[in-house]
Amino acid sequence: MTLNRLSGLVVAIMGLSLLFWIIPHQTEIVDSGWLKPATLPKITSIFIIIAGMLHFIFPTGKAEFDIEFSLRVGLFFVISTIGLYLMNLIGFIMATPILISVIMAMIKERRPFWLIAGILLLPASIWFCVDFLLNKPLP
Amino acid sequence: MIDFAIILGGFADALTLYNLFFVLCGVVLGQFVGAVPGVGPVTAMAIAIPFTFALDPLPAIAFLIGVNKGGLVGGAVPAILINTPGTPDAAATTLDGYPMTKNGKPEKALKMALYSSVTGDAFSDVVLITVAPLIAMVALKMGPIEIFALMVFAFSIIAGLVGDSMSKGIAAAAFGLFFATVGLDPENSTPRFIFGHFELYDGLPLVSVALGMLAVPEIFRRLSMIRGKSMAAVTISKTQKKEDRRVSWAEYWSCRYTILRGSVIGTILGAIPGLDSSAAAFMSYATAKQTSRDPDSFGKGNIHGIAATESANSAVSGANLIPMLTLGIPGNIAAALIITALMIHGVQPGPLLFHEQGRLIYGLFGTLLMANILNLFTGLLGLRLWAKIIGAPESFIFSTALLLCIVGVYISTGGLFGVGVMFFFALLGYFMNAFGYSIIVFVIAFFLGERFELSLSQSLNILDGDYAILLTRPVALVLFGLAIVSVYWFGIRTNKKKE
Amino acid sequence: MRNLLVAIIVACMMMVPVFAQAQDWSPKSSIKLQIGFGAGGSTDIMGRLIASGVEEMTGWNIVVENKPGGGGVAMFSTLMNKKPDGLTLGVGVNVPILLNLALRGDKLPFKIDSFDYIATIIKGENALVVKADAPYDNFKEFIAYAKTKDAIAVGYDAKPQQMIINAVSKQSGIKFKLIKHKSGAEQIQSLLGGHITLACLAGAHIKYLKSGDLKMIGVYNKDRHSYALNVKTLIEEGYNYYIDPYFYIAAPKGLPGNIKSALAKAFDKAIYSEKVKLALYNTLKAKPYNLGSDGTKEMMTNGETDVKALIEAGK
Repeated sequence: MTLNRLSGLVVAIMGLSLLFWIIPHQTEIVDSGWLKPATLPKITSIFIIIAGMLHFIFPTGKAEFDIEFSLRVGLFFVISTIGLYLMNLIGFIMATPILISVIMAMIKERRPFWLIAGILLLPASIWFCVDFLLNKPLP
Repeated sequence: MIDFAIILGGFADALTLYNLFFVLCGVVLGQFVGAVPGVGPVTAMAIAIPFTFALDPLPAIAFLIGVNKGGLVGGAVPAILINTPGTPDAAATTLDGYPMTKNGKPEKALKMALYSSVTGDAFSDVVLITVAPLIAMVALKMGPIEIFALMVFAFSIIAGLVGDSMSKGIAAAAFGLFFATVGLDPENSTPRFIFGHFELYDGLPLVSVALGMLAVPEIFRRLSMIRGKSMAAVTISKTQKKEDRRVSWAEYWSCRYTILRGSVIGTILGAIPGLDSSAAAFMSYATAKQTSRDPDSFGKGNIHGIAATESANSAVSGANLIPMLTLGIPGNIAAALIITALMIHGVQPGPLLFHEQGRLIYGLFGTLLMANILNLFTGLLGLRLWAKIIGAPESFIFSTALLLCIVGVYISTGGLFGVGVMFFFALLGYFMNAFGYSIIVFVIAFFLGERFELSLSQSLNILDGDYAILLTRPVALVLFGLAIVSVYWFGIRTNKKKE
Repeated sequence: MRNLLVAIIVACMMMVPVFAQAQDWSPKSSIKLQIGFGAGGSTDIMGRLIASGVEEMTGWNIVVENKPGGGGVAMFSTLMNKKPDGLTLGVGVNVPILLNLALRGDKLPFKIDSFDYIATIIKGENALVVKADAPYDNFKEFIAYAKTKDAIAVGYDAKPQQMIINAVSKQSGIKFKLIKHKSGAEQIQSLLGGHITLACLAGAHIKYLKSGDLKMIGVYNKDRHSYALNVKTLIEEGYNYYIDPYFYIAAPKGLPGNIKSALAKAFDKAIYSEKVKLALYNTLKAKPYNLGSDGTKEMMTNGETDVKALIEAGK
């Protein structure tokens, strides 16, 4: 079974969980009007189920999923999410240099000029433009 | 009826150095913020409005119009250079712009984007200046049923962008439409899919979804590809031939129909108030691809792809002013902000505007044209700057881009929640891309979704079960018919041809 | 009983600063004025106008932030947890807040008394509007006309308007087709294009009255409007429903009395300043209308009962 074919099954399952689980729980029931809150979401989830099943049975196109590469992408994703969390916690000015340092370390950037530019000058200049010049508070 | 003294006076006002100075400031600021992912001209205009309180009406408007027009040009820059659209409007520009950069012709792509942007903009400005009242009257006749038909037609055009798998395309479109239903339902205003987050009452923020799907996954992908010493983000070979750095007149002229079509699509969608015109660029792209003799070259760096998207998204900006100036109804948020600025200065846009403020209006028209010209020159100068910046190493460019996405979305959505939403869609976007589910189709369906559902609700309530009313709506019937034709033409026929 | 208690507490809190340094407070750093709506809307404009007014008159620094979501619900949900030091304030509109509290109050983190109230800025003016060439001039004639027709299409852009039309429909026995719109401007577009017959508008109509494109046949505020004193309210026409939208400024609960009175005074001065008055008139065709700190609180408390009654009537 190829990943491409499998993706159809995953899509169909997502559609089913929308239709039977998420949509009933996350919409309110109203007793008047033509278009109910759940009408269009239900229609889209039915389309998702049909398209997913069709793709599972008759796969077309291709999937190029490289696990090793995706793990690396996932790592950057996790780092950025933690960075975001830190911004919420200790503020933009403190969190951003940490975030950029980790990213720079991950990609093994060693040139001092670009390190300083990325870790210190970049956050400082963003802060200067946004917080100071435009008077828009950053986190 | 037309008083030439007023027209001349207005244009003379527009041409004063004082006024031009503010246009230029606006254009420069707009191009710059447009190129910063996430911020975009609308946010820039909202921030700039308080600064215009102190100015006279014309320079104030001139400044804002400069920001708006500059932003539309600026948004294409990162789309072309690093596959990261600066604004949602520029999303479609990545499709052929970035492949051109990969083929080593970034400057050519940027120049084509600039030229077609300025042409599309000039087209819609001329339409605005010459036939605005007429178009506004026609646009008024577009009622909810016609708008719904237009939405269906727009969806049918997406079929041309689906690519090599119809089932995956349908799934992507259905997901996009589903995410557009997050937030208050159109008819009874009950919250849907908010999972306790009140920020979602108004729906998922457009900029979070657009950047999350299109920009952030690309940034992560590029960061992941760097191993060891990183190269310049874009290398332009020193020995590059001159033809690959510029757009010749012959090349520009060969795109004339593409640009004209894009301008017309952008102008039509822009002139209908309330229609979200972010989809104009995609519709123009899809039609350009379908009418091309070589549709397979699209997505691989075809210069027509850039011409189609940039002419359409810029044509929207002039056309948006048509309903605003003639009826007082803002066509989109940018126009709403310009209305606000006008009103703060005591000028009421609307039916009496031409009568009461003729000189200001012609001043505004003159300003539009001047903004266009300044946009062209600023853009050409800016190119050199961007080419320099993009010569920095990838490590720096992409961590900057990531940070700017975060800050831009933070500013325009008013909190870290919007940034969180962007990250959620980045994950979704990465997986969809890896498994070959079209992100572009998803994003267009999402863009169109809200208006689709609202006009569906309006139409159902107007019909109230009596579908015979439809027969009295020729425009809607024609659009429904066109939708069927285009599904056949763009979807089924193209797929058959491949087999 | 509970209200009395609140009143006593509030009264006590008001007493303290009178003995202390009543007006001496001024902010140590900039004040954040959070707006519960996105950039470019009427609340946003109003907030920014008032902020620049206060800055000009007091020399304080005010930073305006947009926190959109749910008609202010998102902003007030976070505002309630901010420190009550006078440095974080919120600008909102009463109607969506009251409505959400009444319809799904159990899901909201705040109640009306989770906040201290500083001032109201303006009162929104709600009108029922039709095309100028319509064959009726007031609401009574409109109802008589509607009785002779099949369902008439009525535009609305917010839940309370839907409830009012439903209540009118129930009382008069006339069926309306309710057509939701995204904004007042879009309703006017539908009205001018002939797609709806009646629109429920909140200010966007005024310039079209002057141009002679539209006319007003009714008011769904409690009182008539100053610019159209001849147009009767729904209440006068025998339909006992109204909506009085107020744009107001609130702070997290527990604001020390001296800070509250200093803020109330500063905002009151700014709201009634010539510059803000003119700008409000230009942008929203509205006159400043400040109920004061206590008046705002009272307006919110009374509003809760009235909204509940309207929900019942509109069911």
